[in-house]
Amino acid sequence: MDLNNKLYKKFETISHSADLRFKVFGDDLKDIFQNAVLLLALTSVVELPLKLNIKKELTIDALDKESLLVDFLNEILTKMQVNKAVYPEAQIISLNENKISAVIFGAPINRFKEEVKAVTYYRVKIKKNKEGLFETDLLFDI
Amino acid sequence: MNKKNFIKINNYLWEIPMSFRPDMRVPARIYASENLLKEIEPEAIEQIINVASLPGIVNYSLAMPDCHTGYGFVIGGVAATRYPEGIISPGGIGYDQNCGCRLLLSNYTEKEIKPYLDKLAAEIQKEVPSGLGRGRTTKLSIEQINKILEGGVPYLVEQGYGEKDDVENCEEKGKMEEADAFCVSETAKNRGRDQVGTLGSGNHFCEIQKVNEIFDEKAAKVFGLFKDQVVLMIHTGSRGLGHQNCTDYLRIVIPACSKYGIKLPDRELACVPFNSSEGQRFFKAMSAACNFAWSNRQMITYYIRIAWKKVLGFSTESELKLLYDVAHNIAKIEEHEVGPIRESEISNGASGQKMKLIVHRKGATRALPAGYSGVSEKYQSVGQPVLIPGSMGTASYVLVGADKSKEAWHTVCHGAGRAMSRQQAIRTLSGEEIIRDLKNRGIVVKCHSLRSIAEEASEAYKNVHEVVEVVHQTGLSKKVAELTPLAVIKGE
Repeated sequence: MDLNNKLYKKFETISHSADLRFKVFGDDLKDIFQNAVLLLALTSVVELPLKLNIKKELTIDALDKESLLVDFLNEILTKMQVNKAVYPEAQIISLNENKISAVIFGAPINRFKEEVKAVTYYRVKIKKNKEGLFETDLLFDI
Repeated sequence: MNKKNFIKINNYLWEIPMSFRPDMRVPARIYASENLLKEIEPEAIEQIINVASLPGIVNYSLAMPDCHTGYGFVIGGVAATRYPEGIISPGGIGYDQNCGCRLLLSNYTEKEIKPYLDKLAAEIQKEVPSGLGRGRTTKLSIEQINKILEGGVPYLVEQGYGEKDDVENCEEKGKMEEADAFCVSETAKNRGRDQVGTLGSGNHFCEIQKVNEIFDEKAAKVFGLFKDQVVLMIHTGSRGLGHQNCTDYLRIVIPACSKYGIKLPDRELACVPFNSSEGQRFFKAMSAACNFAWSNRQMITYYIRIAWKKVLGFSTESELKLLYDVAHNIAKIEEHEVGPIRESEISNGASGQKMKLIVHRKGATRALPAGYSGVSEKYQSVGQPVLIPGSMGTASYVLVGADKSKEAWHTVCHGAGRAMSRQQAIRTLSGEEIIRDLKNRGIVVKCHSLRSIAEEASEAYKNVHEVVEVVHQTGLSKKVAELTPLAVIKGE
């Protein structure tokens, strides 16, 4: 999948000298979270698995929606690294600015394309843009 | 921000005064030539200024000539805060706690090794996986991880995975005493269980190099370096355990900021007073992760020694000795001379006062001069060896700590420093062409991914010679030897 495909603009890359920086878009907060989950998976493997046969439940609390997004993604990243798996999909059960409950779906993999060390809090600010879409910056330390 | 905002201190040092922004508690200083200064991105300069606003920061927010944009703290930055009430910040160290370099010395010349080069590189690649695919086949128990976290390199040497000099020639002798495995989460420990002895990805590598040029005969002799000698450089850190440790503590430190009345321009600068309960726990956990990183580089050394002997035989000739191991992402309690900081005060003969400081180095290397405690006994007469890895296919350097480095908390640069984003490198450079070019120059390349070759191409970095020249000319450290690559190995 092309990360910069405008017809399917869930995210786009932003230049950063050391790490991977993106802008993530969504119709609403839920969309932003789901698109960020997909972005993390796409960054980590060459090809997404067709069959997602692992299911994990996650509940995260945080200070605000920005920390919630980063903490949620870092929790998925930990599961990726510990279980050698990738989780491209999230079904969100409930979501407010301080808490998320979700089920993530994934599959085991043989190899990571890129080792994301962490999802950072750097300049994460979820806001509505001029087009009426929600957006935020997101930087992966690699 | 433009050039008129900088005060030129000398040809290689620039200052942004406190008057530039109201929240600055100290000035910001950048070591760079005029040319390198132009290359520093505005965002990186903003990050250097942000660090100048941290509570308890002493003298300056410093940046080295290889500095470039990071997240929160600039990469290539140094910040010291007052001990014990100044802040400690996980972001001032980075996610890869104790990412660092070590250099192994062989007894062979380039001519002697040339016929075995490809076989050696292939064997090292097999013995030292990246960890992106399979990890190591042995998965350590949590109990074993705890021993590494608290025991570091001395523990591994006791177990037979190295020799006495591996402890002696490692920064902190391979073990931070403050480490407490209890402060590291089970999740972090689990991430590290199959990663002891793995390289990781990105700019991490093993390189077989040769000593191309000697600049300082006396220091080279003490270090055991000679012209055309074959050496091995290892660049990696604390792997998933360190990454998770930083993530875990940011989740503790970010909400704690408000408790201590700390207001910050960015969350990645999150920090707490060193002497707070959160600060103490973080420091003990970070120290443990640093021990894990030194242990990772020690185990890589162990596996490289096996590969080396498999190919070259088991005689004493095929031994590999550790020159030195230095961290470039770390926070430590160190004693330094503080003040006077103004040139006018110095010229009036005012002297400084010894103080304990919490020194954060993020993408910056400690460089102690001769005679300092902390320099291995063997190197006392010349100073601490400093290892500066270059970009792929270019040169790396061995430097030695010099007296002037005290103005930068005995710190120098850590590499060439990126100049081009990874995406731009992938878009504009071809991994295949780069490999062809390296091969044409007689350099062996063992790398799983063409994409990572493009990302790490020398064109994506600043000129390492220019960067090193800055720290040499300012007297922060002195050039001892230039190393050039014979084989680049990125792990299976």
